[in-house]
Amino acid sequence: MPNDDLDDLFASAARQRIDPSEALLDRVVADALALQPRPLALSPAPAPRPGLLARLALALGGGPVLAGVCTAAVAGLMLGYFSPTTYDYLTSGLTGAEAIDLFPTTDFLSSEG
Amino acid sequence: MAFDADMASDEALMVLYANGDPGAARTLAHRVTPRIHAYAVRMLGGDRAEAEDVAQETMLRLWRIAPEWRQGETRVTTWAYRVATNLCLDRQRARRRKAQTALEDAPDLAADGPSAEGRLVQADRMAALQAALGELPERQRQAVVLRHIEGLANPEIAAVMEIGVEAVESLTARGKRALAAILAGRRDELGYKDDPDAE
Repeated sequence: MPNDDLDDLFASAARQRIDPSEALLDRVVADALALQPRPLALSPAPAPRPGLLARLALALGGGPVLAGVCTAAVAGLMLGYFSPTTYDYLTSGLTGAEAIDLFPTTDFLSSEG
Repeated sequence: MAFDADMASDEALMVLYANGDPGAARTLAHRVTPRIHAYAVRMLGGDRAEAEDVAQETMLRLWRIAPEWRQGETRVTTWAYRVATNLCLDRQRARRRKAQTALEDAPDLAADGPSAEGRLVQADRMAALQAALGELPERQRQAVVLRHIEGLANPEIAAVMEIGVEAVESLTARGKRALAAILAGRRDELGYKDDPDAE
């Protein structure tokens, strides 16, 4: 058979409609809908569960209380770390004397005779 | 403005389908299924029932792969033709079909032919072509159907068959020569001698 006749045959075959049955299309659509992933729901994300430190802070009274405790702890560390003589200028200013005799009339109690 | 699924590409519809759009599922089903079904009918020697099974199975696999579909990697139709081809070949290998398709099993012609006589001539020609295609080796038949009947370009056929473009050209050329030889003795019978359209 010449090429032209064959090409004509191909063209006729290409024009030929081979329609699928409605039943097939219905089955294919049913499969598609059955297997289709569900649409993503626009719900708010669940709140993350508080961690151990967060729960501890809450038990102690919350953030402000914890901040106060931390500040006191840091101040205590500083006082302990630096020599107390460093702060003499503070205390001497308040007392104004090396020693204060609070009970001068009780010396007789410790003297002999 | 509402999104028109009919205007979307197959690949965009795959994304919409994977995102849960039921309209995309219907549009894609009605767009791809007829092509795969027609292709399977030709590959399976006109067996419509088996072609329907192939088309449904191909589409089923398409729905399953949709969530992992990678845009730009391959076209939906290329992928579907490839799956349908493998399914057809599996079925042909499982039970070898008779090469000669009976006229009554040949695909129906659309009712827009020029006349009843013309439609009969066309039916004879389609049955003869179908039978001749059935005599070709599998790969040649596949290449000839995709190129000359389904109208795919050689690079797309190469993607479907997972071979090079040169191999496609070779297969279609050999297939065409074999078809010409098979149909050579039936030219008069098929009305080509006196057909005014024939050159």
